[in-house]
Amino acid sequence: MSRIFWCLFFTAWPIVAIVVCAITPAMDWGFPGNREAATPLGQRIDDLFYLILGIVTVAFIGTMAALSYVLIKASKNKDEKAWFSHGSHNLEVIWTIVPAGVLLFIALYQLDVWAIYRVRDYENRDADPRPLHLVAEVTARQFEWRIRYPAPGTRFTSYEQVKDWLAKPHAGDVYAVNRLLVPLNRETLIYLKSGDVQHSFFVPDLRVKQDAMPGQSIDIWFTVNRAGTFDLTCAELCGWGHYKMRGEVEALEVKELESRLRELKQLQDYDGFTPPGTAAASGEVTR
Amino acid sequence: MISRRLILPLLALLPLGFGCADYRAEFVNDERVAQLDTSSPVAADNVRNSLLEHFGTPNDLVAWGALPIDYGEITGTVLSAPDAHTLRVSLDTDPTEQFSQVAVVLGDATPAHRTAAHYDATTHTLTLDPLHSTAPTAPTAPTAPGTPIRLIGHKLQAGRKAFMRHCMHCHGVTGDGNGPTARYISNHRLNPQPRDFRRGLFKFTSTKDGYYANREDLRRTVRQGLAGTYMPSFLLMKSKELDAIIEYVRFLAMRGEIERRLLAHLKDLLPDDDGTPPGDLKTLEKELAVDGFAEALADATALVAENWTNAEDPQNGVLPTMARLPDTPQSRLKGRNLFISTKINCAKCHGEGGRGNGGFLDDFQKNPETQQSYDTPGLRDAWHNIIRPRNLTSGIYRGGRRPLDVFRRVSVGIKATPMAGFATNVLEEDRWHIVNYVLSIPVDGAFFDEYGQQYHGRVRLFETHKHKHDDHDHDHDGHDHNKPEPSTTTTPSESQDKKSQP
Amino acid sequence: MNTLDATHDHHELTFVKKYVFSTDHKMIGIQFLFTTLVMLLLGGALALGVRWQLAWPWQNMPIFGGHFASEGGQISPEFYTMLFTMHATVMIFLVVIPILAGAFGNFLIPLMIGADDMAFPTLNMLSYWFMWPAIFFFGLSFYFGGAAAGWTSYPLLSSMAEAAPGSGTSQTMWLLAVTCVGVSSMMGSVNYMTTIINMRAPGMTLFRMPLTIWSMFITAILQAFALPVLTAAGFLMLFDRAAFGGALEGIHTSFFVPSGIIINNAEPTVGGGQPLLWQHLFWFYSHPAVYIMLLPAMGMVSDMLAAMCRKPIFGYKPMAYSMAAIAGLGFIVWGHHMFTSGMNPALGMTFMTSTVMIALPSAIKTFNWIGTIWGGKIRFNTVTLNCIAFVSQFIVGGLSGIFMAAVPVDIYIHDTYFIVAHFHYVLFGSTLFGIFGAIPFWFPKMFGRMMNERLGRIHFFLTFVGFNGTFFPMHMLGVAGMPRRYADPYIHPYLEHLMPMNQFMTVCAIIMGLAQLIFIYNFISSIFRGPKSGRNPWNANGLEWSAPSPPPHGNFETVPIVYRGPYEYSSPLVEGRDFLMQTEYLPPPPDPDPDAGPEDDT
Repeated sequence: MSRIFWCLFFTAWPIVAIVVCAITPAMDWGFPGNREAATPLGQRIDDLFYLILGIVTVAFIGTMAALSYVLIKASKNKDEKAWFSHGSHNLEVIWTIVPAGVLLFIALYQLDVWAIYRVRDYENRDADPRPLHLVAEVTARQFEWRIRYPAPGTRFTSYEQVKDWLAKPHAGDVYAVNRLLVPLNRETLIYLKSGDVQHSFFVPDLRVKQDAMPGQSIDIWFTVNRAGTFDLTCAELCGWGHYKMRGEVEALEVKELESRLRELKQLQDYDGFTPPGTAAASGEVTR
Repeated sequence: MISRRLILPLLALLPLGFGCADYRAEFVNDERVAQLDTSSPVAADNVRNSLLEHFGTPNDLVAWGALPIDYGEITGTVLSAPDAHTLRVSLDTDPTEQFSQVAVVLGDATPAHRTAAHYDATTHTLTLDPLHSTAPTAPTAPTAPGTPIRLIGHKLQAGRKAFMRHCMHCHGVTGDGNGPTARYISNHRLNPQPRDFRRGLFKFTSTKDGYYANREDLRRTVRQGLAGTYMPSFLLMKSKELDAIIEYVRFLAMRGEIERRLLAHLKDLLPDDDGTPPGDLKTLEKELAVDGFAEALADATALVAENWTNAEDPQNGVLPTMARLPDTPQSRLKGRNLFISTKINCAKCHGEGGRGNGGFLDDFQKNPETQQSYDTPGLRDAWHNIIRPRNLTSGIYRGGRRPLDVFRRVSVGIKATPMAGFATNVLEEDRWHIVNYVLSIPVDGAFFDEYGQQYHGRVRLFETHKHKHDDHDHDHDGHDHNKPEPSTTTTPSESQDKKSQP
Repeated sequence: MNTLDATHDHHELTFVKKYVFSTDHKMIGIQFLFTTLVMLLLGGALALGVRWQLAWPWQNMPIFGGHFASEGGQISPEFYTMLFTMHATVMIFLVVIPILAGAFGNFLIPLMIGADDMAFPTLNMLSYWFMWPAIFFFGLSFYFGGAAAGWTSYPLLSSMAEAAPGSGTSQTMWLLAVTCVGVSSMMGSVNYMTTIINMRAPGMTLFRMPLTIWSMFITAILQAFALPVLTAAGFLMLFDRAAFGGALEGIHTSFFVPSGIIINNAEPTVGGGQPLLWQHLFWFYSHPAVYIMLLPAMGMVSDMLAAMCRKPIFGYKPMAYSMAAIAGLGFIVWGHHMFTSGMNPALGMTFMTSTVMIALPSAIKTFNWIGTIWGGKIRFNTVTLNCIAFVSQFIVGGLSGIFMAAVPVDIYIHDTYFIVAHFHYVLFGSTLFGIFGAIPFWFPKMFGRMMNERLGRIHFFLTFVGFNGTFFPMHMLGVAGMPRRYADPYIHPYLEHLMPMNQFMTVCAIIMGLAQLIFIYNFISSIFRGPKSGRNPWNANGLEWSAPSPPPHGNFETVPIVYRGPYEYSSPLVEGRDFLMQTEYLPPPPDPDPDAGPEDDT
């Protein structure tokens, strides 16, 4: 009696697991907003995720079915002795070669994505003459994101210029905190620094993550292809306020981005003087 | 004889016994109240009870009409009273948030107070809580249809809830800057310490000298954070939540202030340092704690209310009467000269290079309350914490980096710190020159050579400072540091005095 | 191959020499077992604190809330960081590693290979007693607030006292404690390697050793090579710290500290170091550490499954070789913890390849376990249930690891709850369930009594259901982007909707936690009142089952002679029973060559 119970038990739990996975999108338990990523690389990451999920599901169902099968058979075995087998050379070969092939496939298939994501540009950047869309320097600190934009309208044409800008404050720089504005449909370059301990710049909707290492200035690049506001969180334990580092990445059309930056600059340059006869301007960040 | 079979279930219940104590957050009284207890329990009780009566506890707050706090009020009319604990009402604004336990004021002529336990928006039913009614209830609370009804306190409650979630762990349940995070067991404490609200003093304000912070100042601090400190930016917090927190912070500040003023009124009743109670205890007690107490409370309340109200008046804000002067090299040079001038002498604290390492740091300041020198040299704020003058080369401005903010710092200083304001003795246009200079330091460096050219960045790593009030034995090289030099090779005696500081 | 001569006297030992400072490997193993089971409860309590905060953030927390009575029982954010740091630290260093290597390794190795004790009995005793300074230092760490920089202890958060509350004296104590644990492990590993190589009974060739011994041997090699790196890293961090234990002035090196960093408005750091260095050194040990925490359980489960299914292990040599492959590959995959860390991205490719390959021997082993059950005659008792759960949950843990091995996907799920799900499925779902099976299996040998079967099954059921209810949804939380180590994830809009799921998980965790009381009760009461077992209650084949239960000092009455491998269940060579012990002499079959010796299947 109890044998049937336990066989059912070990068969039922994988089924429950699969059902829970299947309803995940419908219950909004999956990717944020149940949507695809907002960057092309992010979409490729999602594709890769689903590919691996498919392979893993097949493996899961296969092994769990085999486990259930052998359990049921073994629990019903009425022979005096069990099958006296020390193994099967052929089976060993099969189930070494096949998984090895599948794993190697997974390994090689995603090399390309990684190469595009980090390696290719890392290796090429000094020789690359294209204009660099440096958007901001983000300094993660305990417990907020301090952002510095180059003066609105600045165009960088070489990494030398970028490095020079990164090295020290420049006149015209626009400062912000916790809300990062990035252009839509244009490659964005962010330099990530840390003001104190390790943090990590994580934007789930964009599938972007990079640790901020103290003493290093790390470049992150991505292209946002969906307008909107995306949550920014910290993904490396940085102290008691690790969970408080709530930020936002807002993707805007290039023109609108420039006008927002100019607006920020104006607010930043506010001197509090209202010429008599005019309404007092607000010196506050309202958006 | 316990049956063996019971051992297991008893074991399982053990954890339940452990952990189910019902802890409630409580406001902490100033330590002097406990001291007062030893000499005059009557006085201490009066203080405690009046605070309890007018402010309540964190879970049972009191909305005291005498204070300029927006507790959140919803007006409406009674439609019917199905039974003693239920009212059907029509409210003028739909409460968008859950609330419970708010004060209910019924009627105009003789208002009666009850406490509402729950409001059901679908049936427009208000459930009155019979058990927790702490305020006096009129024998017959007017509940006839058409009676005006006011629900008071939902904003304060929302503020308390949000404060406990986001702020309490640093600022403390009572707003005393002594939350668990502020006092964590470690070799180091937070630097700077979280604000103790109970003095009603806030450093970065837009108001004139002697005036309090207004709501906009507090909002700004919470929204932008204080760069370079552990006060983070809550930029993305919803406005409603933010406003509720601000009201609660003001509530805590006013509570602390009234407590402080009551203790000042009763200071003659405090035991002295070795615990002996004052001489004529009985007479003093009668005079201060019994007869004169109510008046002292009323005076304190009125003063506190007035201060906080005045802060909101735009007339009391600091705003320039002229636009910022153009940010030219000449303006900055003028600013630089004012910076190092003996009249204004910013360099005394901020240092020749603006690195926050001026000579004044070596002096012993006086504790304004006891008129004794502090044990260690250095500048102190009103809470007796050691503070350092800002390193102006870093580009981090706690009170904001707008020209207006720096202008305010130069004009009225930073309240509760030795940073003085120069509005009274420095012309506005000179102050703008200083602002231009200060804002240029992180970008272009602090020094000008004799041609008026600025140096970039760190010219000198080690600086000796001129001690005007020099009592110490230091090796000085006799340089005249008012005149900047193009380059220095430091001699060993100079490098000894390094106070290289951010 | 000879056992050591009995150099010890057989006079009566004092209570202290027999039960406290014993050099008998069995007593030391039991001491480890008791200590680690207590630590298991502590680690579990800390975890329940974490779960409570995630389900009901900032509400009055049971037990721990007492520390915050004036705040209404609401814990502070830094307390939360301490909770998860110490949960992981206690579980890894004070529970899983010592219970596998210290408790089972010590108890089983000499018995299974036919030795009378370990090669170095006094060193063995020291390896147990070094756990107590570790526990003492961890206790001191708690006293000063508790280390709070994560069990991974990344600098600068951990190395600078200003950076976090627990990074002052608490962190120094933590480092000293971890050093003590490391010393204890290294002593043990030297002992195990020597014993296994040198002290096997006659006839016990390497390929007649039970897989438990193989796993302990390989684990010992892992410990010996990986631990020194962690110990060295710990010393580097100690030297970096500003105040060495708060009492002495610091040595002030900057191995991990770059220049010019200002934390908490302290003086800027002098620097010249690199925080990434710690990550490399730490993970160089900690990745093999996870295999240290897995392989012994794998070996024990193999033995238990064979015994419970009455069948030889399917593919003995592939199993042994797979364990060696896992260990070997385990040394070259540490960078997969660091894909987002800012190290050279090209390294991402190399580490990814080796990581993906580690899934292969794990898969082979899984198939072999299923093959072991295939065609067997299974009896569903506590031991079997826990072993099947091991296999079942190891499948989940192993498969979820493949997501992380793929670097681009890891970019997304690194430091989210997906990782937490993965390692709990392998460390708890596999290893701890393996331990829950191993304890009833070898309990008769340790104490001469059987554990209660009914309580064992109830405990299994509740733990299994509670475990999966708690940890399976974490895969979803990870894909939803919920980061690890967050005291209050719900201030982030994209995570607000996950609170009900977290509450469900916490309820399951509480049920699971309470269920462990059943186990503790079963364990303790069976020591005193369990039905007496004989020498071999399971009719198993290993050498340990030929010794009395419990074995006396010296283990075996006579030196055992080994005639065959350990998995000859259901052998056709014997009639009427389905097991054939390693030490059982069978007369040779009628054979033309009268000079042939005993069965020799090398």
